[in-house]
Amino acid sequence: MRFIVLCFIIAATFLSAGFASAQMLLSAPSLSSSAEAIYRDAKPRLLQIRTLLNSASQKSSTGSGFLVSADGLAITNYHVVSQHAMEPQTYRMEYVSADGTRGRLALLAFDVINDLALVQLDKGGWSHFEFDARAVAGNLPRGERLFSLGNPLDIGFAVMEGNYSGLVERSYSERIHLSGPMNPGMSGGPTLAGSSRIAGVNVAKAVFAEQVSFLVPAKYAAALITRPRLPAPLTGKVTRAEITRQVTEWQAALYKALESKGFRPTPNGPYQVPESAADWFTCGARTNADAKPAPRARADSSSCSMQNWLFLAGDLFTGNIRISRNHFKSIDLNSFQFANFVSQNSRLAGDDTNVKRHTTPACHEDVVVAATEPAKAGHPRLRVIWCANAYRDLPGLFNVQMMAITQDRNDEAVAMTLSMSGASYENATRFAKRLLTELTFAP
Amino acid sequence: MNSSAPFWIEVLSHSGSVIARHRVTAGAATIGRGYTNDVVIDDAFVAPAHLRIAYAADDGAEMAQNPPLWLDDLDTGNGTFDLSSQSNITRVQVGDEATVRIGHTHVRIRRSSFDVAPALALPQQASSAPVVPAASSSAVGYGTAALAMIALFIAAIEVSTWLSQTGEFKLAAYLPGGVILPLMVLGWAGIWTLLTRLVTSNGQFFRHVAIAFAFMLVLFAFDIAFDFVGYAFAWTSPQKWLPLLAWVIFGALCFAHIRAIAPKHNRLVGGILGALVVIAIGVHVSLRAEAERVQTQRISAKLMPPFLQMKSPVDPDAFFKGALALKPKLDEERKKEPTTSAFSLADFD
Repeated sequence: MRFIVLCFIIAATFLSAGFASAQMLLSAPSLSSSAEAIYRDAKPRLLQIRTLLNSASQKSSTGSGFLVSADGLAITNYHVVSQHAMEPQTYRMEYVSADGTRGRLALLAFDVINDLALVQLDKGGWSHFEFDARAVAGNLPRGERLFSLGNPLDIGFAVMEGNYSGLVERSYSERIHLSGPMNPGMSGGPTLAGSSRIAGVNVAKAVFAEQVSFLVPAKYAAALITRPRLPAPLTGKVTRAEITRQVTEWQAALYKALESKGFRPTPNGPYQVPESAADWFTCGARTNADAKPAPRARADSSSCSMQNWLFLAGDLFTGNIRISRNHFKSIDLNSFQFANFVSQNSRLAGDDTNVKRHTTPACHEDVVVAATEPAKAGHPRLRVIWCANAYRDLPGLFNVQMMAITQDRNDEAVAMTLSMSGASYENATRFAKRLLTELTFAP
Repeated sequence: MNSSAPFWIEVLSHSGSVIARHRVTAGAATIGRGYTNDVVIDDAFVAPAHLRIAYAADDGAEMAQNPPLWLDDLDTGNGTFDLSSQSNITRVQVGDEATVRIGHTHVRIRRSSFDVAPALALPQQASSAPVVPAASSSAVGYGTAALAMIALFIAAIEVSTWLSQTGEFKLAAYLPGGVILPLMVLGWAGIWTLLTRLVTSNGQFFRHVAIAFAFMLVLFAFDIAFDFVGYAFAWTSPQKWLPLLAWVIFGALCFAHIRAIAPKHNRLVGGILGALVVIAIGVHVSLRAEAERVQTQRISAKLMPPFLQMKSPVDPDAFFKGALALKPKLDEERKKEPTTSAFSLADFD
């Protein structure tokens, strides 16, 4: 399966100790003269942003940020400040500028969909960045040299060169693909165009890959500055309500878009299984055909995932959709053995369940046959299981898993699984129903 | 008095077997702790002179044939308890027999006119000897039952193993059900046999084997029935009830075993085992409630061949109406603080 594994490049302090010892092995990167100029120019506008445990005054995590106004407005990633946002009583924020000035930070606004936060420094009189107009308009040429800045591994501010490689394809969320390095601790730092203006905000990199990094486009950062401010004083309740509002709005648009894109029927033996026609899914396939010892039933599976996780807290991601199907065909199993084979290979795993964040799931199970329109080939009998749990902190949002297994043959079956995280119950049921009724016999 | 027939005084164990037996020909005898008695009992709760058993005074011709035999408590502090009437007595007439408890000792009086049951058949002589047929012989009956149960159990387990195999043939898959589990059950029956032998004179091995395998069969039948019901009628994981039922079956199993040792204390044993089963279920429920909250949830439909499906299908509208009905429950659950060790049967809704 060709799944990109994203790594949010926040640096937790207990990790950075290990990285610091490993850095001895790396030779210093050779910077071009333009990088030198960019760095010199940018340095006073850069910040390291730290989250501290109130009770111990010790760093809990570090990230980067950058100034966008003279009176001390700065932008960083939401995931850099999420501990403070979710639990302001337990964590506080602090900034450290390149000259060593320290001070407190207040959270003014955030955008969990684009992983951005707007913070206010405790004093003004700063030099600051401007946004690159071409980047805001989305007009950067592919291959343009970009410079990522931040404080990797909490060892000092640094500049790294990369190239603009367009927007990430097959992604519902808009992200810039940067061909360049990115390291933990640089989250929330700026990536500049040659003009020394903001092209994007460092956010993540692909792990198990070289120099594939991701930026939030500059336009979202620019938009955040004008967003309404969070009510003060900031409490966990205020944050959770705002997250709920943003995710609810976001998923409503997502499911609407998915439904309007419709489904593509894909043949699986005697069945036609729907696949989303939206191109935001990354798919992979797998078979047991070449397994040794030779299998007594074939299992061909494919899975399509949006790979679109929204970071809400260190232990709370949401916003993904995965649709997978598994086609089983008996080779020499009798009907009982085949049924057992299908059971073993059709498990619904609640991979998003966390006692603190989610309720215990509730499930509903039945035998379902959709009414067939005269022109169509007909619907198979299905065994359908639906399991849902609610987000404790986000009223109205749910994780849902549905599995439908065809039940009309002794030696062949298709199991279709749908997983949705962070969906409203209405959107989840509507989308699932649509998917279920698209599972038909092949004409 | 000289016309009176001899009678027997028997000292019994609590399970009813005879520890000592005395023949009385003099027409009267006394029982007590003192050495002046005809039958001496070493029980500190028995009076030095406790009981007197004697034919009634010779005062009428009618008694000549079958004179009444009387048992008298000799005005003792602890008294005499008649086990047939379950009451304290000072005087009781002995019919064919009478059993009393003095102190902690059971004493049975039997007249020589007492009728004993016919001899049991030896297994190899069942057809030839003029004895009671084997069917009523508990030892032989239990032996046959035990073998039948073992055979049935192994057959059921192995067929079910075969039907669940999805890979290449592996002997190892069939060993646990066909060999290891039966041996464990035999071991269990063996332990009960030893216990029974310690308390009574007969270990009743076959009876314990038959009991143990019968209960294993019952448990196995429930297991299959739960799977079937879950599949055929689209119940969501009815299997989660099986462990609770298993505790009840286990309690009943122990009850059946204990009956072989102490057949007279059904109520007491039943009460204790019932209480233990309730405690076990309570602990089980609380541990599972915790496990369900901590583990990531895994649900698997235990599927069977489609022809076993009994429930008539619903249309998607009806299905999603059912799915929507879960929402208020989840919203309610969301407002509760997460717990990790709830001790509540509400988790079984």
